[in-house]
Amino acid sequence: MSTTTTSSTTAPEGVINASDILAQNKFSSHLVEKEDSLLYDLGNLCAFDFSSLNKAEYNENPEEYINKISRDNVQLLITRMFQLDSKVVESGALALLPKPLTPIPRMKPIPEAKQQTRWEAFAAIKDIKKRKKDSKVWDETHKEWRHSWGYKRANDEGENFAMYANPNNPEQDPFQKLIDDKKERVDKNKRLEQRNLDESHKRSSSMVGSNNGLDFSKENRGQIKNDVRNTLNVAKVSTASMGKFDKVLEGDKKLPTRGVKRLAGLGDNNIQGESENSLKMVKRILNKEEGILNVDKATNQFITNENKENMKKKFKDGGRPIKKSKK
Amino acid sequence: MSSIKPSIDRSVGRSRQMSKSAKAKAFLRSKESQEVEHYKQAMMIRGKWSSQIIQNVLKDFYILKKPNAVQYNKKNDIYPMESAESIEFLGEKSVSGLFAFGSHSYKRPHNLVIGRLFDDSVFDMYEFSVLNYKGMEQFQGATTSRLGNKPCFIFNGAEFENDPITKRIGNTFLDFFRGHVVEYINLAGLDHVIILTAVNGRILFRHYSVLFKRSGTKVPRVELEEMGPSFDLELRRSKIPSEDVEKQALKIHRSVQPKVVKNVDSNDLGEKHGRIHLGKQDYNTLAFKKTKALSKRKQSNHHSTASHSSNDI
Repeated sequence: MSTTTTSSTTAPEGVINASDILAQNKFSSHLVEKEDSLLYDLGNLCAFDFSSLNKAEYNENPEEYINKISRDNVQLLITRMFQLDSKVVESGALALLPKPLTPIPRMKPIPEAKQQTRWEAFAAIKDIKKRKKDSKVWDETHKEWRHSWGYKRANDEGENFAMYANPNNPEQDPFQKLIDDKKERVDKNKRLEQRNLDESHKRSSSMVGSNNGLDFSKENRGQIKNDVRNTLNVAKVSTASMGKFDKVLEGDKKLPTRGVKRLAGLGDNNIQGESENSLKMVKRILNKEEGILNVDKATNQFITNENKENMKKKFKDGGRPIKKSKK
Repeated sequence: MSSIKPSIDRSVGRSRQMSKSAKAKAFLRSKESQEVEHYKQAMMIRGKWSSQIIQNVLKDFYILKKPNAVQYNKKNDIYPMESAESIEFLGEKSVSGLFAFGSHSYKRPHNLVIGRLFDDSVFDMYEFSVLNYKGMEQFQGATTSRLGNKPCFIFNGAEFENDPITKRIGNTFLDFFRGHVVEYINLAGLDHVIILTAVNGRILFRHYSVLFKRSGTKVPRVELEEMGPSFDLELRRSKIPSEDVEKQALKIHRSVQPKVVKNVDSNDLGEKHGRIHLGKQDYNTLAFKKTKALSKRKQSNHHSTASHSSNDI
């Protein structure tokens, strides 16, 4: 130790001493005899020692051997834990753990992303932030803070023993109107909630016949119409004869046909055309070499074309080229 | 065609279970899948026939796993390796992702099944015979850890890396006992360690309390004191997950996935390499090798150049 101190004082500033680094790195050298060959997953407070188990030594005295290597391994793990970044609190030091490395299976699958409600989508576009209302509101008549809603709420009109009648409709009971309006608002809210729920239920299948949830929003109408048509067409010709001997119903022009897959120009008695096509194809394949770009040829062609263009520009008026004035 | 109209089913979107009380709502919410899962609850299930050893093992597991543990101590007529339906039912009921099942029979004495659930069905499970059991009671006088402190883990033996089944067993034990996933940990709370050693075809489970002694440096000197339970496990049967289920279960939610840093990587020496995109090259300013064909013609003999240029190349 004394040598390191003397050398560090004699060495000029900025020069790092190898012995100093060694002294720093051997943090726990006096605590552990073995070399640190462990793999760590500090996020799970976990260390893996794949290499240092000696079976011969274990068989000699199992319990003692396990106690010995365990202590060393735990010491190495604890040393690592104490080297983590930490912050000091009253009860001790809190070490900041890295993210766990060992892959651990989940308990439930990842939740699907929630669909936005119509209001949430609108608010996102308009950049409307959610504001928290105060739960208590000042009540003018009672001169006190009251809950903004519910029993004994602030500024409750229905609490009044008398109310002004509507001048346009004096027959109407204003108390009943309050109740009716409230009911209407509640119903509307329920209706909109149901609509949001329906819309959020994504359609997962393209065919109408399957019993999965469907999205009946406006954007999907065309798709649904198509699906219905296709399903119906398939159903119409799904008889033993594939629709061949079925009667055409009144109002239907003809039975839908199943798409026939065949190559165009093949097997329709045009032997000459067929052979011509084949020859063309063979030629194209065999003469492929010619098609490769000749770089020299292309470059020369490009240069001559450019020269021509330049000449055209110069002799636009048909006269002599305009000389640039020298400065 | 107009006769076929999609009838609007009002119950279409009603996938949410309706509940009236706040407590019931909270309970249902606890059953829903989470973006990030912080812990799993474990069930300790007693079989129809069980030995004292097996019952003690389950009790010790329960103590180690508290408070995220439930006990099913009645005689349950379940055979997990044959049919796991009941386990899955109990798992769904108690919102648990882990289970330990103990039984004892002439054919399979001191039988312990440890497994995990994924999406309310068994993900994987391993059946062991328990040997050389020493309970927590037999280590009385030893310093005990505080309830709820996260244990440290040491895995000794190459089998935890090389043997796929042993590797999975190690993973299961880590999952079983690690407790909550946390960001910070109190260093003074590192007071017990579970040590699993794979040797001679067995897995040895040892549980020690950790004592910190002064060492003269910031890092304390560690002393271990065995506090039990201590037992050896020999694998009997196992059930591992199918590939696609495993893939599903190992998915990480986007919100906690590390952000991908584009165009920056490091080589084996630890040097940082960046990749820069320069955009499209401008061929008009390209520096060619000087050739006669590319050099500008002199102004004076423009007539001759015009006559020389031809198209038949």
